[in-house]
Amino acid sequence: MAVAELELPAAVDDGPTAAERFIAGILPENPTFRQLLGMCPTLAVTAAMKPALTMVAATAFVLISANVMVSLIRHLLKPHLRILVFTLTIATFVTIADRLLAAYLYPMSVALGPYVPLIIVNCIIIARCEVCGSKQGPFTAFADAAGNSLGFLIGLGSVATVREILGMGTWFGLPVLPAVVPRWVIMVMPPGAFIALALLLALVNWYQARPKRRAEV
Amino acid sequence: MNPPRASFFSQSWLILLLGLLFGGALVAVHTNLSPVIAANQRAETLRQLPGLVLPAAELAGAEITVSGDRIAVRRASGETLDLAVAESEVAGHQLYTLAAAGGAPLGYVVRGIGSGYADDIDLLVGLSGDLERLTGLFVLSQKETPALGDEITKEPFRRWFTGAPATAPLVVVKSAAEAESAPGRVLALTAATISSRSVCDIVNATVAAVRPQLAAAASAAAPAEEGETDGGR
Amino acid sequence: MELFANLLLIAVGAALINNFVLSYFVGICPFLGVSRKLDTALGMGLAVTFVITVAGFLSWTLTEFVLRPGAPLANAVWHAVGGPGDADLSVLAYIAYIFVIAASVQFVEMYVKKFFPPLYKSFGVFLPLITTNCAILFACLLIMKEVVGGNWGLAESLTLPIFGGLGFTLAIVLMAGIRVELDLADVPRPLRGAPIALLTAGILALAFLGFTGMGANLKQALTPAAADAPAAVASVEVDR
Repeated sequence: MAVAELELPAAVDDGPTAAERFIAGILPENPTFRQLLGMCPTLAVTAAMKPALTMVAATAFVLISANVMVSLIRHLLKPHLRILVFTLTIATFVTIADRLLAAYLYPMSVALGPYVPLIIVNCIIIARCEVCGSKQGPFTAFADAAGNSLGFLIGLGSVATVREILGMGTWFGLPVLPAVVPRWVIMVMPPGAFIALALLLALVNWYQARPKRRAEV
Repeated sequence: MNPPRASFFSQSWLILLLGLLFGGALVAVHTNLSPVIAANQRAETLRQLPGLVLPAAELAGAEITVSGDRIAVRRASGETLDLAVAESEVAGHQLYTLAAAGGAPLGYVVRGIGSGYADDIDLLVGLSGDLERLTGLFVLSQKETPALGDEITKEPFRRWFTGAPATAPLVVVKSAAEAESAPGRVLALTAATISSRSVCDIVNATVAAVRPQLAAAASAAAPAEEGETDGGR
Repeated sequence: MELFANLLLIAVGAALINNFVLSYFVGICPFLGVSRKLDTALGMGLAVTFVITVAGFLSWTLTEFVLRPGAPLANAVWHAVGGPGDADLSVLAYIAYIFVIAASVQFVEMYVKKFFPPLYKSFGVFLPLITTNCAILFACLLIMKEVVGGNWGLAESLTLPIFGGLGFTLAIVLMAGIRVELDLADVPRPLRGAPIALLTAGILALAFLGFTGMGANLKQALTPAAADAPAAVASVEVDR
């Protein structure tokens, strides 16, 4: 949240369109790589693709529902009580997502454990409610939430891909590396999460810096 | 300025309304889904029971469905085996007694929990109907080291427990020749001796705690055959 | 004695073996955001420990008496209105916890501001940020799981947050110590900022991995009775 509070003022500007919001969420303002939001699930559930994607789906459900809901009631919000309303809305939708997972995707619910309820304190959601949901109409809010969900998918998906392939030699549980390639088991353990995310961030930074350097020359 | 009470309602009516709305939604979700969730939690364990009691050959390609206290095993050949499960607690361990519908117990499955290398290991161990042999092992949850300790969940390790005598504690050994030399030996996983030993310790403790009580119950149920033992107690 | 052994296991488990930050990845935001200087890191760590303990106590109270299936207070109301069976309010748990956390942050802030002004000066600024710190909700959820399962009483439910918070403090202070030195190092440009911090955290996590396996050994050393249990039962069997 510390990061979120620093990022917010810069991100607030006068009503971009739905399409702009959607695009911005995917890459230019990618929640994982550009804004460093939602680090906790990005590190915790990315040892394999399946739990990572389930996490993205649950987060997307909450993000879209909460953002649209907040947008619908934005004219009724009292400024000093808005965070309370956001929290109440998010916590409700997280409870619903948690129950739905336990009822229809039980193995994934067990695998994700406490990280499903921890979506409540995922800074991405409260940041989107604050930046977009509480200021713009429901359609823009939906596009914004969908774009950010896709951005989150890119973040979690890339970390999980690196970790699962290097760590277990599989992708979505299907073998992709020949058995002769040694498995880097450390990648599916906690330190591997930090290292994989660090190197991916470095890769993004390096890629970002390249065109700039060319322009300077 | 409004008087305090009016101000309170004008400030917070939205939150109160949302609270009511969300409360209603949650009640609806809860009443609709909680039976499904409870059934999921039970089925997760019950689904494993046939594999821990019946020989693997009988279950090849079989489809297992759970409804209430019944487990239906539909074999590849098309015939269906109907099993009844009774749940009880013996010596602090959860015990599932598996019987062919309306018949004598086929076998028992006991749940054991103990500490592994990283965190607690939660497992199910199968006991034959006559309590002489172990009939299988299934690990419900564990957090052992990936690719080393977590091999305890896989068949090459689990097979050491199928058919092992239940009368004496299992012994962990480190060479394959030694493991094959006598029944009741378990070959330790390479680089995960502590995980292997933990599983054996949990199985030994669970069997040692539950077996005497089951034997006593069985002999009490059949006093004609085991009258001598019964009198001795 | 058994209770003491149990508490020690929970304490060591929460602080070292399964460190909140380095093994469960909760509280990453402040871990990366407020670990540039040693004294602010220590302030943040202590503030989290403080709030997490208050929230842990409140969430145990709430779970034990209201939220768990068949809780006495909820049952009393439920039976008074003529409901069948046991009351089960667990569906409200997440909402209740997040408000408990927000309330305990407010409460701690007011209390510290009034009675310990110097303390407020040193970590007061971090308090509002803590509301959305997932470490605290995580501790509440762990407590809920064990209390609903019937395994934990108040003592266990207080040990976990206190030592979980101290483990967080340890991690963030270690991290700050390293980052202070890192400021003087020549870090490759793409790695500057968050990536090098994450790499550092990865190496710290690797070091903390060394604590794995300590739990089982500690348990064996602390509870000789449990280790002897199988043999004892076996001998009873022979006696028969």
